[in-house]
Amino acid sequence: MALNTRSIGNVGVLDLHGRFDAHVAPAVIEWYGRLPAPQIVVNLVDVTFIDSSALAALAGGMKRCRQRDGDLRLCALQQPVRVIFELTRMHRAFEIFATEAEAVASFTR
Amino acid sequence: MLPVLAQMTRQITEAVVAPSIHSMPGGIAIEPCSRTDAESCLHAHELQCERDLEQMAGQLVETQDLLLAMYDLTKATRSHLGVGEILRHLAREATRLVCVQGAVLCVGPTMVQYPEDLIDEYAVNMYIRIAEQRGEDLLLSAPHSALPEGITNLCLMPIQIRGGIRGALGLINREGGFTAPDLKLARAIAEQAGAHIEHAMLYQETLDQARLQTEMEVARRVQLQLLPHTRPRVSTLDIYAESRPALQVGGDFYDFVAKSDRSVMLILGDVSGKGVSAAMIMGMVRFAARSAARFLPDATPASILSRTNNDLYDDLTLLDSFTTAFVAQYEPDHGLMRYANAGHAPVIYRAPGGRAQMLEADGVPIGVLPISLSEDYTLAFAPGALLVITTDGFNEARDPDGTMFGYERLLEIVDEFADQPAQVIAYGLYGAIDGFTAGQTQEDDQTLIVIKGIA
Repeated sequence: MALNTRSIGNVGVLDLHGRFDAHVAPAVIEWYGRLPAPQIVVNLVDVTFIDSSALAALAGGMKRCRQRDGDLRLCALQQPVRVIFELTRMHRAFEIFATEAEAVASFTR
Repeated sequence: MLPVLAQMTRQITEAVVAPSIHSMPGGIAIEPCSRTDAESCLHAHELQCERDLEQMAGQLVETQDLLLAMYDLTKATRSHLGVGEILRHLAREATRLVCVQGAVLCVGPTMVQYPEDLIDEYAVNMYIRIAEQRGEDLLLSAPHSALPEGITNLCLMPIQIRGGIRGALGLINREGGFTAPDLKLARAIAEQAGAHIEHAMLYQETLDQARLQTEMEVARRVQLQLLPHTRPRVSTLDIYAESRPALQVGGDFYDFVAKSDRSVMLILGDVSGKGVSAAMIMGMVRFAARSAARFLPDATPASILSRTNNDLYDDLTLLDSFTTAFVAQYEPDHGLMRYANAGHAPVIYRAPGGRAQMLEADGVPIGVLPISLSEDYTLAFAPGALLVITTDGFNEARDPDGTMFGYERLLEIVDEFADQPAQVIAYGLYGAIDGFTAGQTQEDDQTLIVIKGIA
C-alpha cells in the first residue's frame, strides 16, 4: 500500500483517499516509524469512511507523537467521517482543524 | 520411453523409404530417358534420400535427448513442493541438461542461481525487461553484446505463469555458443518450469489458507467460549444477548455480572481491528472489565471503565489498539439503568411508548487517553423501557452495492419490534441486516444485547 505523504517544514502530512480501513492502517503505522519529527497532520479531505482499525492507527500515531512532545492532528473531516469521530468520541482525543493550513500552522504557535 | 522411440524410428524409416519406391516408376514412364540418365537420376534420388534419412535420424536423436531430459526433469521435480526448492532444483537440472556453466531462475522477487551467483540481480532484471518488451527469448553473446564480466554468452527465456510473464530462466556460458537444439531444450525447460512453479504456488496458497482457517477457527471457538453461556435471570428484566462472529473473527464481547437476583451489571465491548489479534485483546479486556465489575468496591459503570482503562492503557498502546465499551447497571429499587459509555455506538434507548433514540457516548474508547472521560448517567427503566446495544457489525453491514445499513434503519427496526419480547427484537434486527446484505459475506462480528423492562 503506497501512501501519499509530503513534508511542510517539520510537519509530515499524510493524504488519504476513499475508505480508510484495515487495509490502509498498517502502512500508516509503518510510516510513523520513518518520520524524523513527531509532528503529523493527517488530511482527511478525500476520506469517505473510516473504520475502527483506522481510528486505532490514528490514535497510535497521536500517542507516539505526544510521547515525544509532538502531536498528530487532523484536518478537513467530511460529514460521514465527522459523525464516526463524534459517535466514538474520538474527536475529544484529537485536535481537529477545518483546513490543512490551520493544522500545519498550529505546530508553530 | 523405449517403445515410443521404436515406433518413431519405424515411422521415420517408412516416411523416407516409401515415397522413393512409389515415385520411381512414375518418373521413368512420364519422362523417357536413356539408361545412363535414368541411372544418374536414380543415384541422385538415392543421395537425396540418404541426406533426408540422416537429417531425420539427427532430429530423432535430438527429440530423444529432449524427451529424456524432460522425463528426468519431471521425475526429479515431482517430489519438490516449495517454490524456493523447485527453483533451486530446476536451475540445477537446466544447468546439467543444457551443459552450461550456470543457470538463474526467478519468479517475482525470488531469484535463485546455480551453482553459484554468476550474474547480479540487477542485470538479470534488466534482461527480463528487455525480453518482455521484445516479446521473445533473449540470446546474447560477446563480443556482439556487452555482457557482465565473466559472461561470454547468455540465453534468457521468459516464463509464463498464470497467463502472464512472471519469471525467467537464464542460462549462462554455453561452451561454443548455444546451438538450435540447446535453445529448443531450454525453451522446453522454461515451459516445464512454469507449470511446476504454478503447481507449487497453488500448493503453497492452499496450505497457507488451511493454516489461516485453522487459526481463525481456534480464535472463533475461544471467542465463543468466553461469552456467557446463560443469561442472567432478573425478575423485572427480559434479557437476550447473542454474538455472531464473522469468518475473520473480530473482537466483540459481552458479559453479565450478577450482583444479586434482582440486579445485574452488563458489559459490551468491541476491540478495534479484526482477526486473531483482536480476539486475543478481547480476552484481555473482558478479563479486566469483569474483574473491575466484580471486585471494585462500590463499582459503578464509570468506575469500571476508568479502572479498565488504567489497567490496559499501556498494553493497548503497545498493540496499537483500543476498545469501545458500554457498561450498565440495573437498579430495580430506583427503577433505573445507570450507564457509562467509552466511545461505543450504537446504543439505542426507547422509553415506554416513546421513539427509539441513540444514546451518545461521552468518553473516548478504552486505551486512547491515559485517563477515562466517561461519567455515569441514568435512564428511567420502567416496564416497557428498552435498551438495545449492538456492535458496529450492524450499522456497518453493507448491501451488494456497498451502501451501509446505518443507524436510522436500526432505530426503525427497534421501533417496529418494540412491543415484542427481547429475543424477537434481536431476531428482527438480525433478520433485517441479513435481508439487507443479501447473502454477502459477513465482514465483522455482529453482537447485541437487548434488555426490556417487564412488570
